[in-house]
Amino acid sequence: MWVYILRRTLVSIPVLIVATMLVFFGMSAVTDPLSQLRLIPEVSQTTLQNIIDSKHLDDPMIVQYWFWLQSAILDGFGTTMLGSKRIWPDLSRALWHTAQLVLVAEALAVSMAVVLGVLAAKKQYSFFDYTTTTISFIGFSVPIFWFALMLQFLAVSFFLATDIRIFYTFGLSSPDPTYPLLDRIQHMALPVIALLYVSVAQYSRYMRGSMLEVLHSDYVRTARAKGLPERTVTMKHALRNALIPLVTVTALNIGAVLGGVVITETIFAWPGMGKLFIDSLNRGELYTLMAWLMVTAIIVIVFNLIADVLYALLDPRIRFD
Amino acid sequence: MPSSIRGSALTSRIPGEPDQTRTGEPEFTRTQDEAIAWNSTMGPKTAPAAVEMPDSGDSQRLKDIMDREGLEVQHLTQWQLIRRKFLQHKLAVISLVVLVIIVLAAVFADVLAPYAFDEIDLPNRSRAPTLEGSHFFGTDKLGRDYFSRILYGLRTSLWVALIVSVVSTIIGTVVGGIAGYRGGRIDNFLMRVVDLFLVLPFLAILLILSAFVGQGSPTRVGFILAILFWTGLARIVRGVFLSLREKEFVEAARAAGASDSRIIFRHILPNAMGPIIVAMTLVVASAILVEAALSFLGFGIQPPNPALGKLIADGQDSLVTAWWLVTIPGIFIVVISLAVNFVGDGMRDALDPTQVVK
Repeated sequence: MWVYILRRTLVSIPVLIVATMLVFFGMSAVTDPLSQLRLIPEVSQTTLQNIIDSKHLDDPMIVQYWFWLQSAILDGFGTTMLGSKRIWPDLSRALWHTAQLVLVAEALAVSMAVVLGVLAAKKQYSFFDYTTTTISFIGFSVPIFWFALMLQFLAVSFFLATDIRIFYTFGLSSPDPTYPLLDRIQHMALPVIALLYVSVAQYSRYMRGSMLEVLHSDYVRTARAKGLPERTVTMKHALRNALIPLVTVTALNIGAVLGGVVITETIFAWPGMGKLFIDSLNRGELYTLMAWLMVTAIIVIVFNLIADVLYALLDPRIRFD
Repeated sequence: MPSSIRGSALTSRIPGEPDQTRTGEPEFTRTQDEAIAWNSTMGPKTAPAAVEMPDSGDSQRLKDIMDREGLEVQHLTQWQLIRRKFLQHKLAVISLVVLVIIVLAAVFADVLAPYAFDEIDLPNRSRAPTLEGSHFFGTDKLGRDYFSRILYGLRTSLWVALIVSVVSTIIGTVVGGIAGYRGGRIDNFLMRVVDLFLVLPFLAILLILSAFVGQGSPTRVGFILAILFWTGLARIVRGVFLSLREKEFVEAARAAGASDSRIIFRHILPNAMGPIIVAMTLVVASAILVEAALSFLGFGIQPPNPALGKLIADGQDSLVTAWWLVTIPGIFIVVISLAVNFVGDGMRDALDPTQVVK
């Protein structure tokens, strides 16, 4: 297994380099990173020249990329293009804030999806089944940004009507909260719900499908034939195997979740990866964007690896080779 | 879309009746009877292969019996079969009707819109939906009629979705087809390219692309989206080609001396059409959502073109005071996407030859 993990890690390094290289070349080719700075009359020619020298902007692209890669590996992604601010402190803080959001949302999504999926599969073609199916179809069709805005609308309307603040609609925390944990939950709730619902819609479909498949398999029939109570059959025999595909789906979904984070965090002003991305994009801050992409690409690769390893660990029919 | 679709089946299922319309093509035998068999307009119109289907004695006997009894066999073309199966899916039919209405409204926006979409009318600003002055969906902060703006926004969003689905389907089919048909090194290379797209978060790459290259006109945004959307289709097409390549009818065609292009366009592609059409429908649904998100974040369609996502973005400041500005375009996005998804679902069933007409 360790050999497998090592080999996969080594294979993903060239993938990472090619992917970042493509993005780097693409961005450098179509944009002048200093264009925004040039528009400000107070910025002198020397300042511009200093930036060009320090970032090697006059060199060929491949050399620029080499210097960028060096700074990324040895120097925590170096400094930003325009303000010479260090990138890693901001990035790691954003990563931590996003991790809180994503972990809570995904944990809730998976547990809800398991419950919904199992119930829907147990009562196939029942009213409950049709209802969850319809809701998850709607879940696929509701744009996440609109859903987030509707949540804000409800929360604000409720606050205006009753003067009771349950949820905050933006930010990470209040300036000086009496109960820090409660305050954080109040801030987190809405962005978590916004992130959660698409995942629940998707995961519960998978869960229902795999549960149905397992429930119709021979060994479950055997378990029933042995006279085991239905509860044991469902929870002990069927559920365990039905969970395996869900593990893969959730791990592979991380890229889409990070995409959703970009929208959710922008709307709820949550100072995480998504907001950092949009802010850097608006400022044309190439090096922060590159660092962002590198980090998220690594996250995606790691999650893909985790998915494969877990799959092999959980399903004895799969072998590493 | 192929203009003519051919094929036949019996309403009273009489097994093993050879298909009169297709005797020239031995590859499409009984198993293909209910399959989707397109007379592909893309394919070369060469003469049918020289092999003649031997008329089985069974069918002759059957014909005799039917002549004697005065029975008639009702032939259904492939389209009729598909349509019949599609019509059984009630939700899909309703969705299709809704979709057609919305598309027509968007196409005829010039005729239907009571006002120009950029006609500013300051005395009437921020009015709630009312019948007075035909402001069915109210007006925005500048007094522009929101019904008209949404009609034009629909037109923009649907146009983008159309471009995305057509362009990405073409790229995806070509790449996936080559990878699946050729296999080997080319397949490996093309699939690694597809993998590259999967490592980086989709929305992030899209935002970077559109921020630096392609914001602005709907056509441009459509092409930018298509650059990223084709990978999913390529995977699907590759899978279908890979499995069809090994099928007996392809082998038979090859043995009969058919060229690669004939095999691809005449034998494989028509059979791959079902999954491709379904995937194409689903691309429309997600293209609408993604374009809306892009325009919402300010990196998609740029003014003066109204787009649904942009309308929501503009309305979000007055979320509480003017609810209709955010709510109504959002509902349209949900309805379109939902309808397209249901239609796709219905098409999947209708185009699946293993599903039997009840």
